Amino acid sequence: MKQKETDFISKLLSNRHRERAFSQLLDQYQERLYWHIRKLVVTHENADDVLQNTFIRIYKSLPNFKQNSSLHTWMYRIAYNESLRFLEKNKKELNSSVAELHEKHLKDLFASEYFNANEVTTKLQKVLSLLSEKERNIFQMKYYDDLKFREISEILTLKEGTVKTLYYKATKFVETQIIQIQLVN
Amino acid sequence: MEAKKINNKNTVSELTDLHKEDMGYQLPKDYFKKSKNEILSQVKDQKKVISIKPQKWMLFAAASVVILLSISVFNYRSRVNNILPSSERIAMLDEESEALITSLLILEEETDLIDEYIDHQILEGL
Repeated sequence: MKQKETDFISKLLSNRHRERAFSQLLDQYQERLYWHIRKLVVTHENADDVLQNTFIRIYKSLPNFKQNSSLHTWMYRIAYNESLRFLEKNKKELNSSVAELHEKHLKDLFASEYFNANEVTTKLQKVLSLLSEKERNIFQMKYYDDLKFREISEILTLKEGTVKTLYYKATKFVETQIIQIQLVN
Repeated sequence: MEAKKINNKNTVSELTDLHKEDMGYQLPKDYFKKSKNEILSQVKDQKKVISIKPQKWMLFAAASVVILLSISVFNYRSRVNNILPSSERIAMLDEESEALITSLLILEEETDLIDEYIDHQILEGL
């Protein structure tokens, strides 16, 4: 597995194979990274911008990839950093806090044509918005992106133990909220 | 929600289904196909920008040429000043002025041709 990845990275770095290898990289990761980004920046328009920036950064940074982590984790980390950069820029432009910005993005999402607004999806989005930013990101990376705790800790530069604790806390909260919603209905 | 949980072994389309059903996220038709083409064309643009950027050795070579030319012009002028009598020096200066005026009056089409030649030489060199 490791050798296969090393060979693939060599192709990405060689002038002769780069174009084809990069196209394969897009086939493998474009969809995964899109969903990873979409959950962070919420609307499709935002995710589209960030996805493009992410792949351009990946392309430019490949010669500097030291292979201390897997290519998979490294790419997720770039996508995560690009999303944060986008949110930070947005936050400054709107002069708002992280929570206010997330609320604004949710409003945009609910009004967007790229959201299937039904009772369940709207409520799940609202429940997730009640989590802290860190808890929400960890919950989504584990539950939806199916990343390992070690990978999440590398992406977020947090200790693995901290990631586990925050994930279980978030899971418990989401479960409780969903049960409450079901009871009300 | 639990039953739909996917892992890395699942196909990416299942990932899209999960996000659509669970979270209500939707996408434009053929989004990934179009986005892939757009990313690839942007990457090609990046490549062009990178390839036109001069390398260190080119800057050194250009600087060396400029220095060598300056030295030879300086030497030539010193020799002319020392050897030629003042009347001949004035005549030479007149010739230089004429050459300068001619170069200023050169046709635009001709300069385009020169630029084209230089561009060609630079790109061929890369």
